[in-house]
Amino acid sequence: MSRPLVLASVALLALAGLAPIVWMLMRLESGDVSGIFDARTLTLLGRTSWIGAGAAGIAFVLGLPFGFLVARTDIPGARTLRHAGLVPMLVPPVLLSMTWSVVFTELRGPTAIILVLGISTFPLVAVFSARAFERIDARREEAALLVGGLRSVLAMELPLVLPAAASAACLAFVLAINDFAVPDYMTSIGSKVNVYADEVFASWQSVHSPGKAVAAALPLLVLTLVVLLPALALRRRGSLATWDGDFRRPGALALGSWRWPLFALAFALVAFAAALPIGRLVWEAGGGARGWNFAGFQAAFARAIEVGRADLQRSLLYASSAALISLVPGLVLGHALQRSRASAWLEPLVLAPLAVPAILFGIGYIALWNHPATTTMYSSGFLVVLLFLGRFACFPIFAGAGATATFDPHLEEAARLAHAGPARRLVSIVRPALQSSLFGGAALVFIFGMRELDAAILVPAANGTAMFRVYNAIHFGRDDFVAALALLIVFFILLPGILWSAFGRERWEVAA
Amino acid sequence: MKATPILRVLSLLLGLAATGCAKEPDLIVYCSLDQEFAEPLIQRFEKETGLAVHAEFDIEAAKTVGLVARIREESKNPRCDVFWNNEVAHTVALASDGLLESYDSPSAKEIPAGFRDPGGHWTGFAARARILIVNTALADPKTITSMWDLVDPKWAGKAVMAKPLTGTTLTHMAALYSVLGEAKAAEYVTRIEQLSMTGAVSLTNGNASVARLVGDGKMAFGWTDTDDFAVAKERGAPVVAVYPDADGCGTLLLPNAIAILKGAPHLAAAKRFEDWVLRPEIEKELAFSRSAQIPVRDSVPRPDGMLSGRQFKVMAIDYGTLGAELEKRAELLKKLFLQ
Amino acid sequence: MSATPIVRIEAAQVMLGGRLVLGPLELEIVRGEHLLVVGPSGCGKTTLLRAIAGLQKLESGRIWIDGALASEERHLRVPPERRKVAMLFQGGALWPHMNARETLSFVLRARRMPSAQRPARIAELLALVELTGLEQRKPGALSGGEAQRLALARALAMDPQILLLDEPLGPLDAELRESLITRLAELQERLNLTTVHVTHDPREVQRLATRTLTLKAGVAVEGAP
Repeated sequence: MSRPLVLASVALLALAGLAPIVWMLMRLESGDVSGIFDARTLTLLGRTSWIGAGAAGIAFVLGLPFGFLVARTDIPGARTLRHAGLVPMLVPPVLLSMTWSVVFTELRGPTAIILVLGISTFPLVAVFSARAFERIDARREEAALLVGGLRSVLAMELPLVLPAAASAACLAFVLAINDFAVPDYMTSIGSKVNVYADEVFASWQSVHSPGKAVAAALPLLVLTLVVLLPALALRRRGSLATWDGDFRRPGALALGSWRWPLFALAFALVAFAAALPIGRLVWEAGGGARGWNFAGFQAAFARAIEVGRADLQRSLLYASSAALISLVPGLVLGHALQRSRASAWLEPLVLAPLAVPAILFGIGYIALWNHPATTTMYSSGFLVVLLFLGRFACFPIFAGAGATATFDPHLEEAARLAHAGPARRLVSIVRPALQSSLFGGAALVFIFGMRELDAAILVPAANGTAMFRVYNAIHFGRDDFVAALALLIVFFILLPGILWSAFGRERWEVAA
Repeated sequence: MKATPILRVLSLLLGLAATGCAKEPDLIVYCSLDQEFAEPLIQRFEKETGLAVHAEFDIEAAKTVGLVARIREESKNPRCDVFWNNEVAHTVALASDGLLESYDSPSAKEIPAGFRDPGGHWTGFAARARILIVNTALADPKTITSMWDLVDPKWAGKAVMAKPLTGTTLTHMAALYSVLGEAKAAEYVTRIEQLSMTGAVSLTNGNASVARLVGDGKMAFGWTDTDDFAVAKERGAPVVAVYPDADGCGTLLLPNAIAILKGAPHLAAAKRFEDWVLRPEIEKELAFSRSAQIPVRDSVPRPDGMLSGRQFKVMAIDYGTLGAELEKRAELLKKLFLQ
Repeated sequence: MSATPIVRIEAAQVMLGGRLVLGPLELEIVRGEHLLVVGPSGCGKTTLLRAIAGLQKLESGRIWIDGALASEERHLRVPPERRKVAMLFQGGALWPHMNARETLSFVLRARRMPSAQRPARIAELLALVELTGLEQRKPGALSGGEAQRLALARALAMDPQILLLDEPLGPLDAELRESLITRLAELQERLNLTTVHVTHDPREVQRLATRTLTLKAGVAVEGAP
């Protein structure tokens, strides 16, 4: 490990992700914390935990097999399904709720909440799992294939993939417990279901007790760390190196008679989770209940582009800048997390910016940056980039850590003996092996940056982002405009991935 | 893949992001009135005055909490010049905490005293009313006349309102404590909470959802604001607006409130903007817009069908008291409704 | 040694990346034979093993294993796990998360050996490759030679009728090579294994070979059928 690089990355993470939290925590007074646990809030926390666990469970159960199918098997259209499978994560969960509650009118209550949150986060598990499956050397897989066919392959590979999938499920849990919009919407009719995130948001009305609002956020942070522990334990069960200097990329596994049934399942999942909300957006953009027509559809898009073009450009700029920068801590800290003894305390710190409620994070940014000396920075797009980076850097860092776990340390040792310094080893030896995973993690930074709202609304320059414009328009029922702009956002998020798939080349060595 | 192309792209992107560090504007406005309505007005102000205005907006989901939190956080180093709030209570609270500048705009001279802060820290205009939106296919509007109909067992499963923890619904419930007294108001909100647990009264995520649910026929009636009602009507929903409690406490009017921040970096421009916004022409424009904001000045023309304060009983509320008690009521309602 | 061919390859061709890497090849391997496959790098030696194992489809031609048609043009009639073929991969290809005992247990369970019988069989296999006492070690904690012997034990655990060896002596020092060669010779005799052995250095293993097949640019220049 390169100590200067690690320190620099930690400093960047600290500045972008931890300093706002620490700044807010400094507002706590002793009386604030004692007041947060009573029967009412414990009930809310308990319910939130169940919802989070349920959502993470669904994300895991759907995401792991889906990731396997689209990354490693011969199901038809695997590549297309892989891209389409991202869509539920690209559409804000509350828009997903709106779609499904229209199509499935009886879909309400806690079950509906868990389903929506689980489906909106299953792509996370799918992405992490797919990467992990792709990092298992072909020969190890073939050795299992010879033993007992596909069944043995899966039995051998699942323990290797489980840490990555579990980490992703943990992230899904964090996202679920911080969401209050979906529970609110899905119980708009019938018995109301409140969650702890409601408590956090409502606490910000206590303007004369700022510490109380911060204290209200602490239980969610603690809950996140508790859930993270099993995922960390799975990660540390010894070396899982499957990627060495002679890595053979595994080919597509033949599913035989299961090919079409499993394709049908994957297709059904994508149809339900992706095509349905996209279809609904297309329908709304063209006029919806007032009667769909193509001219209306065109007009909605024209207006979305005219009104939202600058916002879309800004969103793309901020999100892609944050994604690119995140590659650095992803590589450096991801590698350090896996190789270093410091990972026990570093991992919770990496996750903390995502685990705290968005409003606390956003207000922390204001408190930290709104000073005469930093006014220019405060008003600029840099701050939005920094916010996205701070909040979502955990994705490439965890992706890097997972990839490092499968990377044979002997390769680094060989370079060390050849007098390559730590930075050079990291960049020249480790980076090439990790880069597809890092890009996957950076893609998540891009995706979440594009759809970020809750923290962003508190930062000046984020006012001019596309998602902000969408939510602004939702209120006044510009359904066609909202739908068209939402579709544009989805398209621009998917575009880099589509281009990469079409024109990008994987540089794996394949032995003849 | 080499790092060099990535570094080049990154430099370009960061350079573009730095364009956020553009030339300093002449005025910064924080506005919680919907961007769709406020933005064209602000652009017109820019054209007429030659001043460059940077406006930042809130979103429905944040229900002003976002902007107000920002203003409070920024108070040590104010960035915003003018706060244009689409509901008055939070502005009053800011005034109570000494965060607003006192300014008596000449454009406001015809605005009734009840809509102006005695100390000149804020001025109300272009109001929304808290009404019951009724789907005429599901309920006879003549039978729905009072807030208490919401908790009437005969409407179980057919009544709806927004969760009263933020926004105008919070302000509304807080106002009831002033006009009905502690006991009666507590009875009302407690009944609503109990009924929400069984689904007899549905609680939505906002007034827009109430209007949509009633307009779509999923609910018979519910509390909403007149602007959301106007949207439902425009959609062709079979709805009417009931201004309830004509024999009781009346209907709450919630004006927009405009105020200059203490320590505003561009005070002169801020005053010019406030003068411009408070003109009767602007109130008229907002009245005729999709948001259908009710002029507080009787002399301002309004669309046919839009009631004036003389045509329904306006709730007698002191906005100053309302704002001062908002935090206390918010805490109380939070403990009641979040279970 | 019986003269019945256990493997028959008929006009087999394999394409990889649009390039013909093996064939056309005609070959018969007799039961109990130890066939050495030699040739320069890239001549298709490993591809041949993979084709026999069913890990590589044929572009054209056929492969029979033990009298049954196993591979034909772009189609596997018999999947790899049913060919009773075991392979010792280049580099071992051990499963990094399983220790020696778990590795063998995994194979025996897949082969549906009753659980009561597994411990004894595992002990037997480990003794066969002189890994007794190292049951709890994962591949990362084994030396090169030990890892290779574990890979061999894993292959034998499958009770194969054909053993495919892909440069098994590569990572070993001279002493270990000698030891492994001796072991292979003993197993050959004891189990009457049919072995197809790829090596780039035939001199070391001549004493094992019953026949040598030389490949060049994917085609047999000596030793076929």
